[in-house]
Amino acid sequence: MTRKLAMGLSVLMVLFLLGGGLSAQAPVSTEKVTLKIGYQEGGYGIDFLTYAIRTFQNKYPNVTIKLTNSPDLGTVVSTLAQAGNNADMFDIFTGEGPYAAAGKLEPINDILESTFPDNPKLKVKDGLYKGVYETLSKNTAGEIFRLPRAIYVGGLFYDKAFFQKNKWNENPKTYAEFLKLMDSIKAKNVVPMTFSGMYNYIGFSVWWNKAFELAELNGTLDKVKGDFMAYRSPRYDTPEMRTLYTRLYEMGKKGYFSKGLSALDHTASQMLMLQNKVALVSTADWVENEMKSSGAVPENFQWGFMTIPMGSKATDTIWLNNGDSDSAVIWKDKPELSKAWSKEFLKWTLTVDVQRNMAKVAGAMPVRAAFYDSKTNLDSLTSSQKAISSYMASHKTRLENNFTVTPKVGPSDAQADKLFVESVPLICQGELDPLPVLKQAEALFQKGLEEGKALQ
Amino acid sequence: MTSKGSKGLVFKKHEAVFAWSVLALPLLFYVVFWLLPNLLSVVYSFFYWDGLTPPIWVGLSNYFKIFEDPFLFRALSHNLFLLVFVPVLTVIISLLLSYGLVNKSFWENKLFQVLYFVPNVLAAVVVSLLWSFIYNGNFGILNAILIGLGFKEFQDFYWLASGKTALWALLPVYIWANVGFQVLIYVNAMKAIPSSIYESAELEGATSFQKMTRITLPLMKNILKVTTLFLILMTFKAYDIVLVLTGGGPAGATDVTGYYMFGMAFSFNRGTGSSGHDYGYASTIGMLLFVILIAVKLLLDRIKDDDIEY
Repeated sequence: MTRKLAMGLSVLMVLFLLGGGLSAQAPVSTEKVTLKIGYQEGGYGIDFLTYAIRTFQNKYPNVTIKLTNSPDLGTVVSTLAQAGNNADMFDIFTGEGPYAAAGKLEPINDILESTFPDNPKLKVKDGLYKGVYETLSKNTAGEIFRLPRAIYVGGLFYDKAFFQKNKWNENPKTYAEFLKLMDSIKAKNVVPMTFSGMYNYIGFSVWWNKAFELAELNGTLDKVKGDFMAYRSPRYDTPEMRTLYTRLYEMGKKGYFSKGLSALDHTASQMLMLQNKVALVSTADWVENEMKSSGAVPENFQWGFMTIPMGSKATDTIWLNNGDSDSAVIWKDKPELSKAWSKEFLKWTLTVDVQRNMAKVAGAMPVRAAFYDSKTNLDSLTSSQKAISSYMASHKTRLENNFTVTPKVGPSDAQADKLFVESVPLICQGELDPLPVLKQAEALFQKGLEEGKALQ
Repeated sequence: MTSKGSKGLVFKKHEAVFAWSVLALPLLFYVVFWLLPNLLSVVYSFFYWDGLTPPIWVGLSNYFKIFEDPFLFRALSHNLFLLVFVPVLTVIISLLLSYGLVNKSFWENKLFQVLYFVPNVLAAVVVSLLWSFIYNGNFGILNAILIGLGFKEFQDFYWLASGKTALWALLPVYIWANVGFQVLIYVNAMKAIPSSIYESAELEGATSFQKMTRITLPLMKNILKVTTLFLILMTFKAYDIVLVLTGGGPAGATDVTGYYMFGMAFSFNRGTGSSGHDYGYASTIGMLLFVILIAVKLLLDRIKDDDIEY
């Protein structure tokens, strides 16, 4: 009888354990573990992260998290990485840097395939904001290393009241309509566009994303995007890039861009727009927070958002430049237990509660799609983010982060990039023909790849 | 027990222990934080190294590459331009200001000396930002003055955005940032020259210009040589002003070797979102810079030091 009872209890126990194991949301050992997080402190502050840490530790008391925040975290990480002591390195930190290409980061594909802590029925990859999952950069093996927590969207920002006062078209749907808008702005003796040439801020509106937009229209998207992602030639001297930069050059010759682009930093260019000397400035959604501190933004200022459509039909997809404004990666050479808990923590930062707090205290644009389902949540977004959200809701858009993982390449590759980036302001002012520049950049790019082959 | 120092000096044991105890820490810092990194740079110049993966031996290929690198030669030509103007103008302006401070007994002299020195206590970033406001085409004070004087064509003119003016516009920044320190040195050097020499010259009927060129400058020759050398080194090595003020633009018109080297090591590929660190190639550029500066030093050493006794 006792034996039968013992057998029965054993079977029950096994069934219980199996059942428990299957239903558990965090199948991670509850052994005590300490995680080190390095955070690049910037405009978002750290309050949202300390909130995430506090709530996570409340739920999982066995986990202790030590946070190091620095405005120059990249240098700290770089020093730790070069020292080669994995025990000293952060478990989680901001910024993929060159570490993915060097094989130093843990792939996070399994996080994307798992479910949210606050919605066990929804996979993470399916619960991210419109188009975010598709923009996550992968290496050639399909591995993803960086998990975004918040995104930025770049484009052309403007003063809504100024546009409405002048009755300018706030919604150009085709390239022809956009050019018409430029003419109508210029007719009022206002310069249509500006950007920081010092820091290549036109890239927030027009970069590879627009070459892809043109490629989609030409039916060559797979080829162009494939070459881009695989870091193959042609990269600069493609029909799409030639069309794109010739368009900018033509706009420059017509005086659609402000003078002195090369000398403008982002604050100076944004100031020109706030002064209504220029109608549109190329930047990203953080512009609102950034300029708030300058004291130059009037009360009740309403930000507007648009981008340059490349197509001729209102139904063509408009490619927007985006990236993660806050993201995290996991260091690969760490104990399995630490990595498992690091992944659990990263998922925690995507819960609606943490994301809501992030929008509220950091002014960030969350990546969790469910955040945008609530009107209260939407109201907590900044005016520039609302303008983007509304633009994306009323247009057929696609996000693109223009990111590729670089293989080993020689110095000529960096020279190609340098030549291209430093030429853009002069092209936009109609002072430099883009075609020879693209040709020269392509030649340098090819040379860089050749130099790289010797390093494989 | 005694230790023998140079020139046959003999130290007692406790003196030697004291000397070593004082010197050990600075020596350690010198070796670890200066000598070793510099020696490692020589080693890295023979490798491709991204700072993370194991370095790959490339032999002399980085050295061959620098001689066919048009961006490097463009940057070097800008250094050369700065080298022609910055040390010469800085020395001339500093000498004139120092001469005024020493020979004219204005009650504000102390104040002037402090004012001249102010840029030296400011970080290069602050100096650069100040000048970026001065040169700004939208609200800059320089354009305001020029327009006030009737030069309307300077409306919305961006000094740092034009290939014709950007490099020239760097000159006042470099000079302004360096004059104060030179003035400090020259004032003290001038004060050390015995007044009896000037008094004798005055009795002989020497003019102020003659006193400057026949007495002051010859007696300051050694100091001028050293300060010029430091100015040359600074002009060649510094890139912080370029980094903040122009970012090397427009279209590379203000790129300098130090900034180009920094970019190769840390920050290029910013446009494509990827990041490539090439410490090996950057170190090779550093080696070239090292050779150039040593050559300049040797060239300056050919100017003989004078044994000056007052």
